[in-house]
Amino acid sequence: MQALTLSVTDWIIIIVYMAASLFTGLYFTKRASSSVSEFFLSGRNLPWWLAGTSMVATTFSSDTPLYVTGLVRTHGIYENWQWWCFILSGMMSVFFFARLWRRLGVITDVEFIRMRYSGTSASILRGFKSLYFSVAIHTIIKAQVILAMAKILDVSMGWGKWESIFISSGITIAYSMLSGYWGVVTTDFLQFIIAMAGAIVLCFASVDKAGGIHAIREALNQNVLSFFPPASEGFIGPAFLTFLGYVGLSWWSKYSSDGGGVIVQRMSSCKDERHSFLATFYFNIANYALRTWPWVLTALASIVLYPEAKDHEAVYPQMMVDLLPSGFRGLMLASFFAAFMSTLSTYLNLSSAYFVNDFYRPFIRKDAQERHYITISRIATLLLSLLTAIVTYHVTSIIGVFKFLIAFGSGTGLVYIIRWFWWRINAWSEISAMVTSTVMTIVVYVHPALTSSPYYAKLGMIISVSTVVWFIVTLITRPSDRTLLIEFYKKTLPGGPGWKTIREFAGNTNQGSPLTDVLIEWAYGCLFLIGLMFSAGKLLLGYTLPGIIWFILSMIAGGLLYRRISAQGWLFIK
Amino acid sequence: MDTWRFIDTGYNRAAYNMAIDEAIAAAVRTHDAPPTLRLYGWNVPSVSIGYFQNIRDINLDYCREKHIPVVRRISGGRAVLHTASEITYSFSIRTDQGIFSNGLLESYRKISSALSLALTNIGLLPEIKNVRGNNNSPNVYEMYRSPVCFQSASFGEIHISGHKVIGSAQKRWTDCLLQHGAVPLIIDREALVNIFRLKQNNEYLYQGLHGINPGLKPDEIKHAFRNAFQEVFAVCFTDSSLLCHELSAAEEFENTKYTSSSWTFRIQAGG
Repeated sequence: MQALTLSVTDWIIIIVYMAASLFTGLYFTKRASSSVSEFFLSGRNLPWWLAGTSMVATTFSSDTPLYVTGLVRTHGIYENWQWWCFILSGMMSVFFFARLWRRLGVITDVEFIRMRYSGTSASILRGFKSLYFSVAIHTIIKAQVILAMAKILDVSMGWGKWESIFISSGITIAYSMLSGYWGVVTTDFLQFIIAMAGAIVLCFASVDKAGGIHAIREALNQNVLSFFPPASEGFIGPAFLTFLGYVGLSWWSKYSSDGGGVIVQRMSSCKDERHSFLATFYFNIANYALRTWPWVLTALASIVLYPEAKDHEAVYPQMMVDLLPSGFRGLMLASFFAAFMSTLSTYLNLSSAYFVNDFYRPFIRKDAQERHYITISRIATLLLSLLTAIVTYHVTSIIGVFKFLIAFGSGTGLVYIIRWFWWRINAWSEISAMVTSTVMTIVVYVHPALTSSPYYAKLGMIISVSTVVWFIVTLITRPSDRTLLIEFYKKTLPGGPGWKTIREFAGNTNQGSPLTDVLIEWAYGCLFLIGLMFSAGKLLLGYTLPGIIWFILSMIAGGLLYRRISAQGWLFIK
Repeated sequence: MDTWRFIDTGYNRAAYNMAIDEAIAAAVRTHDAPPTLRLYGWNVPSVSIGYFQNIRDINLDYCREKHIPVVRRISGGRAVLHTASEITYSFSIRTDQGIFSNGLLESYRKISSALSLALTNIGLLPEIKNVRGNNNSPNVYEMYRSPVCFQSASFGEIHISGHKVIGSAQKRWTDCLLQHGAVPLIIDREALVNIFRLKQNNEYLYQGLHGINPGLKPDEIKHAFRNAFQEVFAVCFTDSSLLCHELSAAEEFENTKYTSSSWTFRIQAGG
């Protein structure tokens, strides 16, 4: 396999990018040192476009284009429903949760527990989740991000991969540690532009080399180009059933169904709930309608150019080596570093936030000065980075532990949604959901009679058993303290009948938005976004009429949505 | 009623498709799998050449330029240009007893009758060719010399209105047979002419099913194949997927055989 040769221009581009990231990040060191809120949330003062760009930059990791290339090459465009199904939860974050999280005013999503549940069970849950995310899950995510970057550099450069990762990680750790969230979001903005530029350049080069979009369309099997899986006549095929599993179960059953730590941190850092709403909305548009197509088109071109390649994911960096001229190779390599660094910096900052805000501060040292917590945050960032390095080094020997830890939380999504809309949910509901789903996940993946079940059947079993268990546990355990619930209700104003009892105690006539209204907005939002994404895809693939039809559908849904949203008021909470 | 296996593996790269066919036949031979009908497709236009065929029959420069993979089959016969809109079948069954124990031509005829019924059931009028040669051809000599499967006529093959619509080839072991064949929906005539260095006036002998009925849907054709095999052989199919050891065998066949130059270029005389 040919390795990448870099010209002086390529090197200059990479060095300028690295220097720009470092200086942009370090610029905010002084400002980040003033308070914990500044260090983890930029003083809750971010405009929607900066918070939204940070959301999309973080979820754009260096291996995301490789993952999409693998999906398209092995199944077809429709296999992207594996992640497109999260449009439904993304839009739920926009219409149901963006306002609520901002009103709640937390630093992390784990802090929700303090404001919503009472008693020892709540303290145990918060302490456990803070360590589970900061020490376990985020370490795994960071290790995976580093290993993915190593794979990319292995294919593209073939030399110096660990040195490159050491330098780029060092820069990222430096600005994450010193300038906190300010450094993270501002570099995210720069890094997202670079990362997208690289993806678009490679898309043009690969499509051109494959003979243009019409030549690609003619060469490929029609199933590859389909946006939906083939539903065979007479019997529904496994591809279609898997698709139904994605759109019917996956999106609401994940532990991040009400936003997830990364998105919640960015919602909370916005100026007000309007900016929180707009940031999340913009993130979803950029994430699905904008980001999808350069990768998908590149993947389609790769089938024509490398039809016999067996490592489907490695084809993406290989195309960078084979197709890009001098100068653009530097840009593309910088784009991989940008995607890598934006994801790494976010998880470094958020891990530290979980550790300090949800473990150290409530359980180790409660009433210290802000400077003390900032120092501890910086030390935590550094120590958690060292832990990530150790885990990355030993990754093959602890892969079983990884799988076990990831098993926590799959299938618990429903309880995280309902906790906002039913006062009766308590800490035991979450604990029982987590324990049951973990046990069930292990059972369905280990038990000989169940291991061969398809994905959607496994997920269905996990969800149904854990839902029954947490529902029964909720009913037989004591609800949270009424004073706390009234306070939570007054602060967030969740709509719907699930808070009727507490609303009466609160004597509050403001009932929040009716859930039926929010559901209609969610449906319009989903149609708007899916229509926009499909219209872009169809037009780029040269299917003009379907592209126009999807666009019109999207605009109708968008128009109806705009009319409803613009008629609503906003609570401006600083 | 016996139960056979039906697998739709979707589209794949050329070498892997051939490797899967061989892996299935191996599993059938060792009694690890029942008789199996597999339907599949090709991720991009690809050329498969017969086991005994000279690789020089193919314009390799053109294939390289157009990123068209070339793979050598385990079965005999001549070269096929598989387009991405083709439906390909493979059928593996033991031959040491039962209805397939009477030699190549007889097994060919039986499978052809199932293929023919499938086409009849989707409204076409197929005929099974029971003699070699084509009296309507203006150039019978050219036809026999042609390196292209669809340019030649063999016993038991399926024609519609004088055009060959399914090209098949068979590999026989002492105890098992593997027959696979191509059902093109459209024909890329320009690519055919360039890949096989054909004369333009030879094109008329073959036809894609969409040339006969443009409204035919791939799923409809696949369904017809499945039903026709069940009806002709009086069996019942279970929908299935590849077994674990078939998958690992396919991977090994692909790595060690179908992607190796020593296999693909094993006959390259006259270059």
